[in-house]
Amino acid sequence: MTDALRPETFLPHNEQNMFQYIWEHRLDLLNRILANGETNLARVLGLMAEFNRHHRLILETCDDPREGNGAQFLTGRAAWVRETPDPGNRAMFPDCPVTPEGVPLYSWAVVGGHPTIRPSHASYDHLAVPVILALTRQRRFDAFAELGSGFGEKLFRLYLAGAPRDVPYYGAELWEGGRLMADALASLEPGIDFHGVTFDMKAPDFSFLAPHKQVLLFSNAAIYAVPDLPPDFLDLLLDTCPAVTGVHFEFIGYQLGVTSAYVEEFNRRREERAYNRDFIGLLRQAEEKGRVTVEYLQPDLYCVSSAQPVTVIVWRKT
Amino acid sequence: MTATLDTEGNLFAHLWEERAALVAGFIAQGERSLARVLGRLSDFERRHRLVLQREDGRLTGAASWIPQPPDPANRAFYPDGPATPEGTPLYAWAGLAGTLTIRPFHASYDHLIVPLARDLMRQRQFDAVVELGSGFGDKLFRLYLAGAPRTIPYFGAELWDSGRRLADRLAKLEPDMDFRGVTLDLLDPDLSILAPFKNVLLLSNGAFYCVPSLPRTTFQTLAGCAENVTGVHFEPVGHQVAKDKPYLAGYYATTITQRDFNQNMIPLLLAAERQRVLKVEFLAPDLSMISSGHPVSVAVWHSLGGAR
Repeated sequence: MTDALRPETFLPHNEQNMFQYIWEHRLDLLNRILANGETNLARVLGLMAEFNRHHRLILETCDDPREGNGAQFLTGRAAWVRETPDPGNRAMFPDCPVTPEGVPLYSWAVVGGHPTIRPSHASYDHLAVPVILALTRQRRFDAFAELGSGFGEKLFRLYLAGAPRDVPYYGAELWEGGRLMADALASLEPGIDFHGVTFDMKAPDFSFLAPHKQVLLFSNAAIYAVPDLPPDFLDLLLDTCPAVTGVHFEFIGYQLGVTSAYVEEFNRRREERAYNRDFIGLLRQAEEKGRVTVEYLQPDLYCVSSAQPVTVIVWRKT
Repeated sequence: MTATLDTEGNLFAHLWEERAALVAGFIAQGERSLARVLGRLSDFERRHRLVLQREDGRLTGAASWIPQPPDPANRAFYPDGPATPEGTPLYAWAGLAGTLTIRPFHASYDHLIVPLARDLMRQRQFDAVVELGSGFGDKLFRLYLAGAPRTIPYFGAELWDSGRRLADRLAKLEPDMDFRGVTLDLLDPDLSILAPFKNVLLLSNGAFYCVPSLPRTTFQTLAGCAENVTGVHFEPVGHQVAKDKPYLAGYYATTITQRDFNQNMIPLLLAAERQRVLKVEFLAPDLSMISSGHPVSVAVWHSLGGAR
C-alpha cells in the first residue's frame, strides 16, 4: 500500500472491507516476524497474538470522496498504535491492582449476557478451539473447513491443540491478504495438510468440500460481517456435503431476541455497522425443512476482547 | 514405581511417570510437534482422572487413568445448567478476587503464568529463565511456544527424576529450544549453575506449596543466584495472606491442612523484603482458581543489590 491516496480505491467502511486491510497489515507484521528467523508455527502465532495485545490497528477513514453524503470510506492507510493491554479496564475498575508491567490484574468480561470479571491474562478469544476439539473426540471427520478463515489462525490452533493430523484443513477466505498469510504460516508446519481456498460468502462455492464424507465446518467471527447471506447459502452447503456438522462462534445473538443491558449497548453498534441479519433465520428454515438439526444454540455465551458478545451454534445435517 | 509416602510432592513423582507413558504413546503414533503433544496431553487429562492406589498412607506406585466427563465438580455446582452436545457444561465456576463467579466452561485459567511472564519479558531483558519445581517443563515449553526469546537457556529445575526425564523427551521435539534439565531440591536449593547469568527470571507454578516448610533462607538463596533476579510465583498460598474469603473456607479447612501445604512461603518472602534482599513488586492473593480447584496467588519480586 502506498501513502498516496487514490480515492478510486477507497472501500465502504463496513466489517467485511475492514478485514481486507487488517490482513494486509498483519501480513506485513508476519513478514517481519519471519524475517527475524522464526520457523515455528506456534511461536509465530504467539508472537502475533502478543503484538496484537499490545497494539491497536487504526484504519484511516474519510467521508465519501465522490458523493459527499456522509458515508464513511476506508482509505487503505493504517497504523499500529502501541497501547497498554485492556485500557478500558481501568475505567471500569478504578481500584483494580496493576501488575509491574502496567497491566490490570482483572478485566471485565461478559458471560451468559451479564457483566463479570476475568483474570486479564485469560483470553476468551480462542474458545472455538476447545469446543471443536471436544467434538472431534465424539465424531470422526474427514475434513475441517473454516469459512471466512482470515489467516487461518483458528485452524492452526486447532491443529496445534491436537486435532487429527491425517485430514485436510481448508481455510476458506475472501481476501487475498488473509490467504497469503495462511499459506506462509502453513509452510512452517509440514505436518498439517492445509489448503487455502478463495471463498465469498455472498457467492458461496462449496465444491472444495465435495470429495469429503464427514465435514466439520465452522466459522468464527466471519458470518456476522456479511449483512445478508444468499437465501440458498445453507442449501448449497447441504447439497454438497453428504454429512456435515456446523459450528459457529458469531456476534449474532440479537437475532434470537435475547437481551441484557450489555447486549443492548452492543446492539446499537451492530446496527451502525450492518452486521449479519439473517443467519439464524436461514438455519431455522433449514431446520423446518428437516435438513438440519440444531444441536446447540447459546446466545451471547461470552465476550471476546473486542467486547463483542459471541453466540455459539452447533448443528448437523439431518 | 516404588511405594512412597502419600504427600503432594510424592504424588507428582507418580504423575510424571504416568504422563511419560502417555507422551511415549503419542510419539509412537507419529507426533513430532511439541505443541501438539502438549495439546493432546492436556486434552487427555481433561477427560481422564489419574487414580493413584493408596495403602496405609502410602502411594503404592500402581495407577490408572479413569475416563470421566470434563469438570465433574461443575455439574454438582450447576446441576441444572445447560450442556453442550458433548455433555460438557456451558459454564464453570471460578473463584476470582475473593468472589465466586462464572467463566465459559472451556476457558482455562491453568496457564496464566505464561502471559504474565511474557509481559515481564517485554519490559525486561533476561539471559536465562528457570522454573523451580518444573515437573515435566510444561510451563517453560508453553512460554517458549508463546514466543519467548529463542536465544536464551530455559532451565527446568526439578527434584524428581521422572519429571526431568519427561521434560528431556519433550525438549527433543523442539531442537531450537535451549532446554536444560537440572536437579533441584527446594529443601536444599543449589542454583550455582545460574552464577554466570546477569538477569535471571525465576518461575514457580504449583511447586512451593508442596513443601510444608521452606528453608528460612530460601529467598536469600533465590535472590542471590545471579546478578539480577526477578521471581514470579503462582502458588496456592493465599491462606498465608488472608483467610477472609467465605467460598474458600472449606478449602482452607480441609485441603491445606490435610495435604500439609506450605505454610511459610509468604512470611519468608516478606521477611526477605524487610531485610532488603528483594523488593516485592506485586502480591495478589487468590487471583484465580485453576482446574484442580486450588486458588492461585501471584507474587512478583526482584532482587536488590547485595543479595549475593
